[in-house]
Amino acid sequence: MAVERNLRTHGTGTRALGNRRRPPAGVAVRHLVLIFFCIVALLPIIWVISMSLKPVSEAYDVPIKFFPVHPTLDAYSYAFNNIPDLPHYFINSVIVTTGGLIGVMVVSSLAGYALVWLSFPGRRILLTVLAASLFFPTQITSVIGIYQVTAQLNLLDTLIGLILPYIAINLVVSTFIMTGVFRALPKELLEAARVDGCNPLRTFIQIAMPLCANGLIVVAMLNFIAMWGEFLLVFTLTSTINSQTLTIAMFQAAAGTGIWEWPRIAAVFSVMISAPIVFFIILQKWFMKGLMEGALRQ
Amino acid sequence: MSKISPTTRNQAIGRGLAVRRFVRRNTTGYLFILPLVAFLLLYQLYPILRVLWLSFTNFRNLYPDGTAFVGLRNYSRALQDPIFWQGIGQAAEFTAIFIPGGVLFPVLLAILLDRVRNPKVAGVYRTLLYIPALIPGPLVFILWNWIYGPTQGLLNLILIGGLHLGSWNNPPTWLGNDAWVIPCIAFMEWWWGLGYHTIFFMVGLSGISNDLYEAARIDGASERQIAWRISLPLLKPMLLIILILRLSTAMGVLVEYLIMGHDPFHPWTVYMYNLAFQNAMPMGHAAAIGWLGAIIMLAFALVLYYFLRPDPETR
Repeated sequence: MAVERNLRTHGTGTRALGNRRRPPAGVAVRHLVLIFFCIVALLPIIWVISMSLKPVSEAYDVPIKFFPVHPTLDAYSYAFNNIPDLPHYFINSVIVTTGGLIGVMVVSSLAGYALVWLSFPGRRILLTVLAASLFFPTQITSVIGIYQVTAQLNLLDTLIGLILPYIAINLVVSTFIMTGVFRALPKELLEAARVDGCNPLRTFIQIAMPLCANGLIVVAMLNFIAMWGEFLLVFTLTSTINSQTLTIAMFQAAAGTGIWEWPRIAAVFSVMISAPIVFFIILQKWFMKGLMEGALRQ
Repeated sequence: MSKISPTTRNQAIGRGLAVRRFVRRNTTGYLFILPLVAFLLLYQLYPILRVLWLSFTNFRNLYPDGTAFVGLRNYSRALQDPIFWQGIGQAAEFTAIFIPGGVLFPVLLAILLDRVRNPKVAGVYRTLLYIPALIPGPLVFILWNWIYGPTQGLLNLILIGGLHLGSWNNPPTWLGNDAWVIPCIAFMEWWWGLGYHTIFFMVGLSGISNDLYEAARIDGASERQIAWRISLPLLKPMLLIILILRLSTAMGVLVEYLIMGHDPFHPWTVYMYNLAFQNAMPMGHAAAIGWLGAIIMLAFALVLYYFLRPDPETR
C-alpha cells in the first residue's frame, strides 16, 4: 500500500513543483511520444478486428484497405456455426486453461504461504533453488524431457497430459508472486490467529487468502494469458482433436485456404484475444495493485 | 555391548521425542509445499535430467530397443556440426537485435509515464500500452505473420498504401527475405514486450524515493539530468532481471519459427526440435544439442550478471 501511495504522489503532488518550471513544450513532446507508442501498440489489433468485419469479397483486394467498406459480422457467425470442430477446439482450450489455472493458483498460494509464514527445515534451500531455477535457461531443452514423461505416464494426446505440465512450467514464477504478496501481511495478525487456536490451514484460507486476493489476480491473469494461447507443448504432446486447442486450430488455419477465409480466421482470432483483454479491463485495478503490493518486488 | 547404558537410553528416548516433535512441528509446512515440490520434481527436474541422460546415449524415440551408452559422442558431433553453430549464430543475431530495443523503448516510456501528473491519463496510457502483452505469444506470431504478408499485410499497407514507398507490383516479402527476416521477428517482439516491460520498469521507478528527486531539483538539476543520473542508475536491478530473463527467451527463440516458419531464419532450437520430433527422432543427439545450447545461454547470462551485478554499497 505504501508503495502505491508513493507511486501516486510521485505522479501528482511533488512533481508539480518541477513541472511549473519546465516549458510546456516538454510536456507536449512527452504526450506526443506516449500517444505515438499507444498507436503503434494498438494498430495491429485494430487491423485484425477490422479484417474480421470484412466480407470475404473485400479481404483479398489488392491493394488492401484498412477499414471494411461494407462491415459485416458474417465471418463470426460463419466461423462458429459452419466450421466443423471449432467448438470442440474451443472447449478443449477452456478445459485446459481452467484446469491449469486452478492448479497453479492452489499450488502456488499454498507453497507461497508456507515459504513465508511456516518454518520448516529446508525452507531457505528451497527458496534459493526456486530463484536459481528462474534464471536457468532450460525451458526449451526440457521440452524433450517433458514429452518423455508424458509418454511414460501414458498421457500423450490427453487433456490432463497438457494440464499437468501447464501447471508445472508456470509454478515457480507464480509462487514467487505469491510469496511477495504474503510477505506484506502483518505478522501480528497471523500471530493473533494462532493464539486464538486457528490451525495453519484455516489461518491460510480464512485470514491470509482474502487479504492477498490482488496477488492471486496477478497470478490468474498472467497464467491465463500463458495457458490460453500455449503452443509449444500442445504442438509437441498432442496429435488429434481429442486434446488439441484453439491455438493449434488457428495455426492450421493461418494458411488461409478453403473454408478458412481470412475474415473468418480474423474473427476467431479476435474472439481469442478478446478473452484476456476483457478480463484485464475488468480486473486491471486489482491487477496493478497486486503488482505494486509486492508481486514484482523481490 | 548388550547392556545399554542409562545415558544412551535417555538419548534414544530423547531422540524419539525429538523426531516426534520435529514431525509435529513441520508436517504442516511440508504438506503445504508438497504439491509444488511434486510438480517440480516430475515435470521440471526429472525431464531435464532425463534429457541429460539421453544426451549420453544413442536413444531414438521410435526404436528404443537398441539404446546404448555412447559417452560424449553426441556432444563432439554437435560441436563439430556447422548447422548447430550457424543456429547459435542466428539466435545470437536475433538476441542482439531484440534486446536493445526491447529494453530501451520500455525504459523511455516508463520514465515518461512516471512523469504524467494526472493519474487518470497515466492509467489510460498504461492500459493501452499493456494491451499487446495480453495476447498470448503464439497468437502474436500468427498476427504478425499476416502483418508482414506481401500483398495483404498491414506493414506494406502503411508503407506502400499510406506513405507511397515502393509499389504494389513488387511489394517486399519481409519474412521471405534473408536480410529482413531476423529484424522483422525482433521488431515483432519489441511490440509484444513494450507494455509488459514498461510496467516492470515503472515498478522499479516507483521504488525511488521522492526525496531524492526533490533534493536534486533543489540543487538545480534539470529533468534530463534527473532521468540520467537518478532514474536510470536506480533501475539497474530491474534491468538486470529483465535482461537475463529476455536473454534466455530470445536465445531460445523457437515457437516464432514453428508458427511463422520461414527458412532463412533457422536458430539452433529449431535444429534441436526437428531432430527430436521428426523422422527417426534421434533424441540423444537432440538432447546433447539442447544441453549445449543451455550451457551457452547460461554463459551469456553470467557475463551479463558480471557487468550489471548489484553494487554491494547500494544494497
